[in-house]
Amino acid sequence: MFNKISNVSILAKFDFVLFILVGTITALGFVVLRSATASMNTGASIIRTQIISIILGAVICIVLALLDYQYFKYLGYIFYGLTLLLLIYVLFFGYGREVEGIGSNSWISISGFMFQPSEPAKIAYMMTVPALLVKLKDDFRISTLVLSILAAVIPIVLILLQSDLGTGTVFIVGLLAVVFIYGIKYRYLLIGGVFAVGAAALAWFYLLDDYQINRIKALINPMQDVEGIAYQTAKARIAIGSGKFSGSGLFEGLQSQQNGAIPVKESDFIYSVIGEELGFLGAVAVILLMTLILLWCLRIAMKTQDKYGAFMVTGLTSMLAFHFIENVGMNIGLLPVTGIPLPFISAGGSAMLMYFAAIGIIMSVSASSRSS
Amino acid sequence: MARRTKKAKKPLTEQVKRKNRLLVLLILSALVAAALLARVAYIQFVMGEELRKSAYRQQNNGRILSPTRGNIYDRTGNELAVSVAVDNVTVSPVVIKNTSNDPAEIAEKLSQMLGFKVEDILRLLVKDSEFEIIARKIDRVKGDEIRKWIDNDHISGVYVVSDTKRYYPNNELAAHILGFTGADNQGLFGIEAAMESYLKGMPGKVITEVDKNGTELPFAVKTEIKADDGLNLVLTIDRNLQRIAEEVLAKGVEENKAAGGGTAIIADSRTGEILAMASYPSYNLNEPRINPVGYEASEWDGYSEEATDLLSKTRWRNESLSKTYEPGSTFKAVIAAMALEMGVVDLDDIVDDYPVEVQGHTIYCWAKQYPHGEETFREAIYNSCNPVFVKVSQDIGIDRFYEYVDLFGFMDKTGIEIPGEENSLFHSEPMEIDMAVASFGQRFTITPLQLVSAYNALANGGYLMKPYLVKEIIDDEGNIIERFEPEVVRQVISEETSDLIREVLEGVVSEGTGKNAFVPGYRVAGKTGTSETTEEDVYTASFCGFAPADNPLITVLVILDDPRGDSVYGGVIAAPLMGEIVEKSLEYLQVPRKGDEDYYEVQALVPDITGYTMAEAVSALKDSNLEYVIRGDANGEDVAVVYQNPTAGELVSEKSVIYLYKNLPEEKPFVSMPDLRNMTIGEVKNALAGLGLNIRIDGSGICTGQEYSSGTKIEQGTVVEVKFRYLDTVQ
Repeated sequence: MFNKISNVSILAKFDFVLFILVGTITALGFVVLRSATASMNTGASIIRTQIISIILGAVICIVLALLDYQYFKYLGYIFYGLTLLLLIYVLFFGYGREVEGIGSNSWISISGFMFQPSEPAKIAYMMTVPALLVKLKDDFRISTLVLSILAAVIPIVLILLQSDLGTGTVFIVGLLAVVFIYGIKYRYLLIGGVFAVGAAALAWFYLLDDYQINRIKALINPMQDVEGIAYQTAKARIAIGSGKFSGSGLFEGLQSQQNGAIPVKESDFIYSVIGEELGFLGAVAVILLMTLILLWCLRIAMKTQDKYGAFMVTGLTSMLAFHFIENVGMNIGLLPVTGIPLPFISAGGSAMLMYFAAIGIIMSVSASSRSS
Repeated sequence: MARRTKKAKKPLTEQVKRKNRLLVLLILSALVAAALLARVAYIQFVMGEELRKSAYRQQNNGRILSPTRGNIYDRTGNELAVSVAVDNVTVSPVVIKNTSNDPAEIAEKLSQMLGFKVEDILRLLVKDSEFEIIARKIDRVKGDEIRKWIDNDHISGVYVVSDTKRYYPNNELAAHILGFTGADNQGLFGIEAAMESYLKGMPGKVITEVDKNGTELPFAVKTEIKADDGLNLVLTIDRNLQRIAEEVLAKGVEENKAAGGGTAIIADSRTGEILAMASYPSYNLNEPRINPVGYEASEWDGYSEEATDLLSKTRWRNESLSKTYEPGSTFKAVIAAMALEMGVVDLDDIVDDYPVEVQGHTIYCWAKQYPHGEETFREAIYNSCNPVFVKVSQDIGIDRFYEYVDLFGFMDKTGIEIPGEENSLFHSEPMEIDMAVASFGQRFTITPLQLVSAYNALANGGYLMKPYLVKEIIDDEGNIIERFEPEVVRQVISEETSDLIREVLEGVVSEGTGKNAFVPGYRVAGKTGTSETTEEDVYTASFCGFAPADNPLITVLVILDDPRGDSVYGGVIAAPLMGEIVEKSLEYLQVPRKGDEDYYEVQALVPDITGYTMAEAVSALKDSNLEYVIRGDANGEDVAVVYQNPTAGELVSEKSVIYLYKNLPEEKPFVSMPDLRNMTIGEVKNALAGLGLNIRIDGSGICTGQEYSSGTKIEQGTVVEVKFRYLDTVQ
């Protein structure tokens, strides 16, 4: 199963650049998380979960990096089927909105350990959909097309049914990127775009929940009504704004160290903590590190000659990119508030495992292109 | 590997195309990243200033400026409750942490200035919080000291915020009317609670500029949203009348050992304004939660729930409106009024007080052994004969009887401003026997305030007035914001009936059972009341009336609850108290005395004649209508007075004898006090004059008490107060 075909040593094929970049941002994120949770009652348990997730994630990442990703073409289908079942399960037995006050019912609790099936679903999706598209590219058949469309759309529909608009968008963005790389003609993209706008308009008036519309509205003028719908964004912006150039220092942020000043400061709004405590320097460092990771991944996609590898890397990278852009964007008031965490930094076990798995797969593609 | 190279050749253009599209994504990502960077920079550098202010404001939500609570004045403008400027000392531990100041030094300094323990202050200073209170309601002088230190030593994170504290300059005066406030200056009882919305005002805020760390700049611009101070109240209460009522009541309760305390009310007969309302025992409004008698201060927590409960039921309770009692014979005046109004009887009709049987119960006159027999209705009122009132009420009829009771306001709360007013308790479906005993004020309960209201109506031409305590609401410049006018609830009886009642109740005092309320020169009208309570041997003695009888100004009620002294009868113990309140009140109100001058003694002020020559002294005493006796053995024209008794400034009766000394006697002449009990006024006067003592007469009738017990050695010339009461007038 390991890449034995290669005559180059494992060490030479290992993408140290990507691994070190990811390690750096994870380390930075962990320190900030310590600070953000210092004032919280649940701080210690959040940190414990995070440590376990990072270690487990790193192991998964290395193992996946050493595997030949071609096997995912086939293993992906099984994985995909499993996650689909979980997504259906969560629709009926999911936790969240009522119990934990989270926006959506997207959680499953297994003997007290909570996880979101949408996280493994992202990986499974990006193993399966690219595989089908490669098949379609090689041998265009209507049956394959229909199968591809079904495989691409079903998980998105299931997630949107959970009222998890943010995660649904992650899948859509990933899919669009893959379709774009697939080589779809620009005029199809244009037609699709027109339909998308129409669908969005329909969704606004008929499908979106009030809380989702409020979050989008809050974007327009978050400072107007600090206690109302724009509360979270306003609070986040106040924290970032008080950081100035070098920040207040870790564990010193007046807003960050006060419970209730920044909402969900350990996850959704951790970028605001960075903004206040590490200032402009810290905020820029996170953006630069994350951008370097994304560009490096896209470079891997460009370098590989294998369609499947390229599609998969592009899809996963786009998902990560969307996480990053959406999260930072909502922290600085550019994008509507969703529950999308900041990759490698926000607290959260299943998300952390998903990022590392994605990086592991990307590293595997990188390794195979180096060995050729 | 081989497979891949084989495929690579064929779709070369496809891979290039893919690379191009990936390049598009790459550039897009870079652009988005650049946009994010730009936005972060904008927020932190351009919007930063405004956002940091928001951040500071957010942290300082707690720093509010308390409004000054409105003052409460009596009707003549005397302060009854005022707000005194004090300071609160607060700190922001987080701000202190961000500055170069050493928390230990700050704690040390604060402890010096406040007199608190250093450790206690330091514990708060190093807390991980935004806001801690170090000291509440400290003197403005101390507060200013701390302010100066903050300015001089450039201290950040320590704040002195002005606040106010409630202060009651007269301590226990009008305690039950005013009530008091809690820690946050909120009204808890009485007028303070009732008029909270007017008194409290609206709080303001302080917003201060901060530096980049969120630390307050020592000389930063402060924005203040000023607090909106509360409005002031003018009460209907007169401080002097309140004092008269409280002093007379206190004396009465103590002298007659009234175990349940007592109540006294003075109301304006015409308007229903409450001029004074006293309950005894009272409490000091500045220390309302201090331990009551019988509780150790060390074991007493005045803020505990039990303590609050206990105090609410005892000394905080305004008995005038929160306690109900059986009015007894004072209620007969009301029955007489309804009988006269309906014309079932005239004052000169002949009635009798022979026993009457109602539903198997026989009702006798209080003078059971020697009934008054046949008499006019007027005499029956003077004599307070129960059977007469039973028969009169039967003539009125049970429906009309209770209808009138309702019209006099006894079925409803009076609606006075103070919270906690109780209502009366009557039989819900009264039978003949219930009405019969109700006709002399038994077996139903009312509040003292309800009785005063009804007496106001008897006195003022028949108008039931709503009693009230708040006269005006004024702002700090004295402008009247709101004025409360007298409110007529209804006319209960005609002017004519009111005239008759005034006349007959004056007769009760001048000739009947109310003689002890008689005040020389003032026409007092009223009715005695002695009621048995449901407990055995526990009585309520009361007297309710008004004066002057021809044109009533004030209605006065005095109640002694459970007296355990020499007498339990309202006519003996409550009437003189009512008389004293009337006398002092009318004097204060400068109502001239009228009528027979023999009734009262003219008072004279003893002049200061020490140092005068004998001739000058004698002439000065003659001018004051005083007699004199000269003692000592010096001779000559210019011999001066070296000593006098009574001393200068003492108030004595006319014709009192002043002892003058030419030289200081080696032994002052002492005499032994005689036993004056049961003597008439004339006998007592003679006895004291023979010993060279002066007299001050309290009341009339026969002697029931003397200031010095018999056998006490007292100096010649001393003024001895002697109490006289009519003892043949009971009930």
